[in-house]
Amino acid sequence: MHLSAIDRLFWATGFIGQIILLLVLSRRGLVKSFPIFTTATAGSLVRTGTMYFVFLYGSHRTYYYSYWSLASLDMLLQLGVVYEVASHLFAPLGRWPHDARTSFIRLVGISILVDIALTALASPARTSLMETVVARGTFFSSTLMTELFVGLVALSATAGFPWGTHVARIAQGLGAYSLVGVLFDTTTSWMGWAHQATTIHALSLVRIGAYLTALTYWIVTLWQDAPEPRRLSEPMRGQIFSLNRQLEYDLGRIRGWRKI
Amino acid sequence: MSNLYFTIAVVFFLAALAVVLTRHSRRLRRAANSDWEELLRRLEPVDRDSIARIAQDALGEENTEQRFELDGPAMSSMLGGLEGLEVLERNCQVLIDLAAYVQRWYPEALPVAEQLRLNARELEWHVGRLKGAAQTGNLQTAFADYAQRAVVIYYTMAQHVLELYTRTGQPGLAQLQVAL
Repeated sequence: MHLSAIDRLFWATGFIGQIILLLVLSRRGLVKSFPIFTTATAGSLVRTGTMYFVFLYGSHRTYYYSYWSLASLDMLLQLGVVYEVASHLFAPLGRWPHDARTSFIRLVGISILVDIALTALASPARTSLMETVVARGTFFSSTLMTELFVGLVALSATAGFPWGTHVARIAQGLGAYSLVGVLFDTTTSWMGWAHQATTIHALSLVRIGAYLTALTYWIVTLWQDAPEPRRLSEPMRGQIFSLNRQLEYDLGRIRGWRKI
Repeated sequence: MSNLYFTIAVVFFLAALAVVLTRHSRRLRRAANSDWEELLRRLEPVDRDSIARIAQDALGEENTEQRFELDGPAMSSMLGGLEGLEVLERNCQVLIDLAAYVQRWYPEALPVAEQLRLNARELEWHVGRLKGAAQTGNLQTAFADYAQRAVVIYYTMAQHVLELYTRTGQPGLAQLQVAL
């Protein structure tokens, strides 16, 4: 199979960008805070490298199976990144508040249902089953990511959860890239590889360009320091704990009134 | 043809997402960038004495004659009716933002913010019931049932936000006491 100069350039840029991002995560001590995001980046690096050689030396069929196995893994890891972002956002101390957990589960459930409906509506102009599955699958993945990103913004704004600097950057990069993916899949659903392969290829370069932009954004913003949180002293922590218990007690008492 | 339906559905879907994102991003940005003065400015003025009086009427010593002396019409005139309760509802959001403001520097203040959110939700529920009663013409009878609970929740939340600021040694406590 043939690769143009720009294809090779994009492929190499992605590969190098992913290595730099991994180095940034490691040097800035973010691997421990974002293990899933780090794994997803490492997974993308392996995928980029593997697919390059499969594309050049493998058969069409090998490429298809390799692409889908690795893309499925990539999507699972991206879902993991969404969970990681949500955990940083809603459970910075390790424990999920009950209301936030319920809202998050509801968000994921609704997003999946909406996605299934939209994907079922899609009928990409593809000639083979293989192409149709690829088109529907990538659309489902991009739409889900976009929905989850917007949902997280809405949930955190409604409930008043502040976004940490690095968490916000990871989510923004992922959300913006996924949105470009939705636009790409919607636009290309009208096109068939047989007649409009050049247009589809040009648009796919735009999509890869969006990924490279997200990659650069992550490299730059994750290299910068996030403000260090202040630690409460032990007595202050105790006071906050008792304040919280008092709030819980008061609310329970209000609920228990029988007069009114 | 089915591709056309699909494209229309995606356009609607993206438009809905854009609306949600724009609306909430603005709120997030405002919460993240708002300084102390701005947060205080968002607090709408309320009659603190009336709120304290209504809350104390319910929070007094249990099993005493002095509890629950106020009736619905009295509370309604003290609070300014349903509109007054809606002001409390909006102020609740500011109280949550005030707790989140502390949480920016002290993540360990998270449980208090969480509890305040639950309180706010409960208050919204009571105000929602009153709005429903207003639509069916039963506001006066329902007022005593729900308004006092809502006021007590607001009063408790305000007291706890003040406590939080006192205990974490946040500057601007005196201003907050005046505003609340």
